[in-house]
Amino acid sequence: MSEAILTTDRLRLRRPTPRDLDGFMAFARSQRARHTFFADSDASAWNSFCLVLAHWDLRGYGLFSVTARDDDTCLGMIGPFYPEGWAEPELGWLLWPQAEGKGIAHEAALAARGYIFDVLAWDGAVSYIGEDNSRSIALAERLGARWDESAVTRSKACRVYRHPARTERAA
Amino acid sequence: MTEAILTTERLRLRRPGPQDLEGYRRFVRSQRARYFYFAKNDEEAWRLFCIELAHWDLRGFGMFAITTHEDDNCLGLVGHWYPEGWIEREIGWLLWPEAEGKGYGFEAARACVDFAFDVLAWDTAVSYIEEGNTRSFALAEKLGAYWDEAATTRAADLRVYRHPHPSERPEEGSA
Amino acid sequence: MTPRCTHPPVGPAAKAATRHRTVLPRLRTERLVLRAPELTDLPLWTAICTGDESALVGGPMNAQAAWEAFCVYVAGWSLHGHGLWAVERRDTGALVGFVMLGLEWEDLEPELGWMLAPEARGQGFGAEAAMAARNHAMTLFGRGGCVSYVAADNPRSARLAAAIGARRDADAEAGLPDGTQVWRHGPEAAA
Repeated sequence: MSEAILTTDRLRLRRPTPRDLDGFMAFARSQRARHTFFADSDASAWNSFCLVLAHWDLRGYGLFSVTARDDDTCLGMIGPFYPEGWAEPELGWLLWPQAEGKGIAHEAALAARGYIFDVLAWDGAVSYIGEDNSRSIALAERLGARWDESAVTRSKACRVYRHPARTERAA
Repeated sequence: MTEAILTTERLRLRRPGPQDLEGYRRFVRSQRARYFYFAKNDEEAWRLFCIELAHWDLRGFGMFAITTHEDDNCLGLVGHWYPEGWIEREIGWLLWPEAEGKGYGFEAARACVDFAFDVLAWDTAVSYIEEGNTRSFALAEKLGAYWDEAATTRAADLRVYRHPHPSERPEEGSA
Repeated sequence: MTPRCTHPPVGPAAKAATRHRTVLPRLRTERLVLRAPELTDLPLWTAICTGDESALVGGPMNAQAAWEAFCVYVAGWSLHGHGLWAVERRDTGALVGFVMLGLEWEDLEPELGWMLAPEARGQGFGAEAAMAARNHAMTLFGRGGCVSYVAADNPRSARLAAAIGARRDADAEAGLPDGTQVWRHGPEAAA
């Protein structure tokens, strides 16, 4: 399976590898993990990382690890996410704390969204975001996504943010 | 199809891949998986299979897909299991229904026990087997393992069978 | 919302697809495996066809055009007896690119082509895979029976063709537009 690489002004987006595990586990243990789909134990976080890695084998794509261009340390994960059982294909993200406040998430999200529309040829995407995850909600809205209250959701506390379809975006 | 890593007289043991998902899914969604993990929907089955695949990346070993030498159809998963949170390193076996009754489980598991001690350099190996799973008890004993009643187990009704080092295995009957 | 044709099949259809794939010749080199393409290879194919260097592979094109090109090359196995391989590293299973013996709409002869993921370059994978495909082509077409069409502004591909022992064919080039080079493959061993 390939290591598709996207580059932006400051970042590289590459396929996740086992060396990203430590950062993922630290993230899972931290406060942030309340908002996403896992993390009530180290074992379940490890299993979730397995899902992130193997999604690439089973789909041919998946969440990218985001790094600085000159440093391979993973700062977070972002990308197309569509495991078995998901109602809709997702643009998902997991943002490590050290990546905050510098616009990194937004820069990576734009690259990931371009990949989703231009390479995977998705017409649109959603992001599943916990209702109290204000940082992620802010990112989704900055990307032009809007809360779709009528959409099928994974749990009551999980909101569906719908990104503008490809045809709706400015060229 | 990934490169074979172990071969036995009748079997190839290779790393599992996406082509094996369907057989795995059918198994874990069936009652035959009740001693392993019964997946209540396809989403659970997929997540479990992701752990099977990625365990290899994270540990450098994992459950092999077993096939005959004639084709690449996976007949089950047999191998080495030690995910985050596991107490001891485990030798495990899952045989799909069409593969049962031919001694494939024993043949593959024997090769995996030897591989664990000789190549992976494990000090010890166990198999966690649920009460009532008499078929697996028999296989464990045929492999030379014994029920270690003193060992810490993962759940109340889970026996810990301990595999001796190959050099200390009880002698088998003559050929 | 995601093109259905890009979804890997499940159930009996998955078994049917696997059966089709198993009859493809599978080639091994020292570091690589050339194997039947699958839908999980499509994102890399599309990324190459739509990316910055897509002009070198006949682009720029969109995802749908990339899909259709993918299908043409994969159909070649059934129609012509040769087609597209996905190229994987033997040690990691990672996909590094593609190699094909293709026969496209305008081709006069079977063409040996190669497409490497940008991050997989610089390690000799292209030449290693292309040589294996070239040797296989000899069994199908005989000596000199296949070519590589290389755009005038693609020195990297020209170097690869030369490195695996191909020779420019001036007669064949005479009829082509835009300074396209025709490298003809013989069975000579590469250096």
